[in-house]
Amino acid sequence: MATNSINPLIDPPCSTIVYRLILKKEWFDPDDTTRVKAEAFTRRRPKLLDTGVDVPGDDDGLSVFDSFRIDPQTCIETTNRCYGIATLHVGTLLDYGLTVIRDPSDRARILITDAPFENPNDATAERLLDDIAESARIKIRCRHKRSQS
Amino acid sequence: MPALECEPKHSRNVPLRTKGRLWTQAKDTCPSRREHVRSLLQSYLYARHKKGRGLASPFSIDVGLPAKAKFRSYRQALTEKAPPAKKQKQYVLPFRFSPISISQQRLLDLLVEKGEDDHGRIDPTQYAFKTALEFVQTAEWMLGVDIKSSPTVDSEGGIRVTWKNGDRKVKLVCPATPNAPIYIYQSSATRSFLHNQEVTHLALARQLAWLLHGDQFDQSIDRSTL
Repeated sequence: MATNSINPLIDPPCSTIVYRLILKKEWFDPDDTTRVKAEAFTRRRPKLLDTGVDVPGDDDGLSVFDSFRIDPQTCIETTNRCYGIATLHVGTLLDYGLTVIRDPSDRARILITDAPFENPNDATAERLLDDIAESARIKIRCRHKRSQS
Repeated sequence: MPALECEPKHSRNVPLRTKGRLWTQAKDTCPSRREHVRSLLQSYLYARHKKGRGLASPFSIDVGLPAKAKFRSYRQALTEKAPPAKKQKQYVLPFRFSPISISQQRLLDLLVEKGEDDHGRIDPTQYAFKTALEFVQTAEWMLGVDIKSSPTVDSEGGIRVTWKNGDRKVKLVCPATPNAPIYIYQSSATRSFLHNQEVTHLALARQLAWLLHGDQFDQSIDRSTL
């Protein structure tokens, strides 16, 4: 198994389990209740809006939560709308050749910096997304919507 | 049965409860059903006329009707099919039910919600939806079978449709705008391939045939469509 040797003192060890929020209900496979689809693990591309606002998307990496530092409920409540949580194993991600670092601005968050972007138009990237999705496990299914107050 | 010169609405011989129930049940139904109820009510009045006040229950008819119809309750009579009306407009259902495949239904389900959430757009763009629906419909028609797929909307409103069969997968990627390319991705345990040139309905049908039949996929597509 690979080791996370980029910055071993700071970066998450291989045994770390991370939480990925399921932000769309279609990310669950409707024909296999134990599976999450590959679309749940894609990064959003940065874009420039018509108004001139620069939206960074997930340019710095796919954001996940460190299960040792945050509990699932708090994790869900960070969003306005969420349908569940899937877990990933950092060691497996490293085996796939991905880079996993701790978010410098939030110690509860972890970034997978080279996760593929949405619609990569590349067979290798699509394959990698499928592999990540295969390794994911569903931890919670829920329907969280933050009240407008 | 002699016809009685009374309109049920104005009749004083019918208990109010009976009249009200019959007309409530007949109010929203077709004209022929209303006529049917009117005739039932007339037979009830006739029965009372013949027997004085001897008809204890308004729920039974035992006079003035054919033998088969004797001792029926009004409830039974109302639920059975009304006789066909002559020279009356046919009562037509306001819509026609047409079954669609699961894949098409799931695509339509993407339109249920609109707006944006934490991840981006919730609903697909018009271009993405039209493209995805055309591809799915045509490919299913070419194959002659419905294959379950699951679509998702990306953060910009594009649609990704996934078909799975064992370890084989086919994905159709319809971007949010015509500026980005449409492509088809296929994968199995041993290989993966991406088609981003000449992405047509037929190309998708061929990939889906491969998904169903493996290496024998060419046989399942009608050669006349090539």
